[in-house]
Amino acid sequence: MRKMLRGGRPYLLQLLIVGAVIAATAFVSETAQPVAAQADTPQFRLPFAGPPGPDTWFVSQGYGTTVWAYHNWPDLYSAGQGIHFGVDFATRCGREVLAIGDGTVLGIDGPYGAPPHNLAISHPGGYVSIYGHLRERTTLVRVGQQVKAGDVVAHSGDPYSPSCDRAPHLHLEIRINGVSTTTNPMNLIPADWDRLTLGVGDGGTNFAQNLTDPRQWATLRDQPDIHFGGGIIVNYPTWEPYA
Amino acid sequence: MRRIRAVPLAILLILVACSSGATTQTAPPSSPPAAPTTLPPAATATPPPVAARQDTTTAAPVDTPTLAPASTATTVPATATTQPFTPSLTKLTDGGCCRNPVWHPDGTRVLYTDAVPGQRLAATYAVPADGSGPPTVFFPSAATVAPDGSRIAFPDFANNVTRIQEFGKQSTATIANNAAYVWFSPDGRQVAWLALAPGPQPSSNVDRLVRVWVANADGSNARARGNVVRAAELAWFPDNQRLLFVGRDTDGGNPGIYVLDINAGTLTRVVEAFSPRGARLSPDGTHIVYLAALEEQPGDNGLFIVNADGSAKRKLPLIGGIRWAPDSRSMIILPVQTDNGPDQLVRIEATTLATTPLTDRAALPFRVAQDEWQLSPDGARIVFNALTDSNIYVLRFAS
Repeated sequence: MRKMLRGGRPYLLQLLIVGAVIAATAFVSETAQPVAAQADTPQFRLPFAGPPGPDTWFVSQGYGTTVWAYHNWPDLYSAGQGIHFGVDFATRCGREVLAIGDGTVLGIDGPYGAPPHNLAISHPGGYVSIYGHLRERTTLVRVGQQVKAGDVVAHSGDPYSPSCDRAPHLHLEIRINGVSTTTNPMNLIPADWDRLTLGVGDGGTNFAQNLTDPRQWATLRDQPDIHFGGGIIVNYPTWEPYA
Repeated sequence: MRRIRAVPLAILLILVACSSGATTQTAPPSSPPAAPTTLPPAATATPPPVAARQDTTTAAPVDTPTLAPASTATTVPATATTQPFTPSLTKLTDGGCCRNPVWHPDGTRVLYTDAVPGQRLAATYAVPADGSGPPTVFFPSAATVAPDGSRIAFPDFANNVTRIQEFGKQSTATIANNAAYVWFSPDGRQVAWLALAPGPQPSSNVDRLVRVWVANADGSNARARGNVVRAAELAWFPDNQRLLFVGRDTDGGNPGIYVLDINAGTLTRVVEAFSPRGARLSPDGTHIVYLAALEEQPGDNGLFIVNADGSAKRKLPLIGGIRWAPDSRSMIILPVQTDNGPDQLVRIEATTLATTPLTDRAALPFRVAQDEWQLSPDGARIVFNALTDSNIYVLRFAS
């Protein structure tokens, strides 16, 4: 059964996501290719104003080899070597999304995946922040516009429900190397990340332990960069109390 | 196909062989606390990768995170009183080795999964909870011990099954479940697991389509129960007849907390919520505590306690990781702190919702990594993975 599901017929949405993400490694929408990330890391911030909480926003899936990604990568994350290549912030649709750093709008609804709408902002040092699952094609900014950290640039949405009743959340990525690679936002955005989950541990915040290397990629911050189009890196045995 | 099926057959045969030996040397749950179980030579020939510190410390290092977003979590009421017992921390491991520590049912040992030198797959280690000895290999595979301590379940990736062994017996039961994780019933006589439902798995951002399966611990009477649902984790009621889980309909709608009667096969949504998380059933099966999030009305968000049928909903005064005390009369919570500082243990009475701090943040600073903690069987200690150094600590907060 699992063989059929994991290796069987691809689904249209999966193909669209995978294709879009891979395409993003080849060209960038509406503007020039960003330069490779440099040593000088810009000062980033969280993408929301106000405190986290069950009635505002919180982290529902970390970056990396989460248990949830381990089980769902064939449907969602095959383009990203099988890991969750961003951070998911659960929040109701329509929450204002803030630029995480100073930069220039690189693309709106470009080939970055994370449907139904996305936004990309280029930052100094070769970093690109990508905001996915936006409610609408944002009109709050335009391509080429300079933005400051904390500027409202979009509204959050739900990837699979126009009525926003399934899994509303913001998917945030930070890419480097000309957007061909993602890196862990938790290492670039200062925050008490372990508490942004509101104390709830589940398949989105626990990591699938590699039983052939059990100390590998074990924490919220110790997670691998991935290269779009690279091989799957989560084909390892695990034994986790989340399915 | 899962790559895990590519595990060399020889390795798995060794593991199975070792497991048979281990069960004969492991104390049954009724036995008095014993020294860490040793294994046959094949497994014990290699030393454990970490060495336990024998000393008991009163403080763990705490890092200084850079930025703490504010939280809606409230602080412990100033009127609460601190109990006279002086809590203490005991460091059990070194080397930043360890994740997801759990208590052995006898309460004397802590189990966790780590590498074994020279062995391809990780093993289950046991370390004395009082820090009196180093970690030793408890079982030559990742494994799950039944709540009553009678049995152990472990994956056999080569054969794509889960195996269950009763301590003190040589025979091994086999569950043909794609080597899925299993949840033991409280009496240890049944296991449940989640299997992918037949047919397509449409892309989504909610849990996968699964069916709940149940079998006797001897491998017999495996059967699917209830309808196809979206779920990822199970919890048994103490009657060994019902299962609780956070789930959704097949189309992703009707989110809530469900109860599955495994005899009748009926599924009941006892809690309706937009995005329920972290549901925990009280040990006596009478109450559920869960986090409600992203509800339209702000007052509807937070930690709630309800009767097991969903009635009598009450809001807790704190937010954070929470566990039930063994007697089901109170809960222990690690409230989400707003100042980047250390964690604190707090007790919440189930009837009155009164809170009592169990530790002093200044006197006993500690940080728990990402909800990786568990309350001891006697309800007087927690074991946790420390955010500060990724080692395992036991914090005793009551005598």
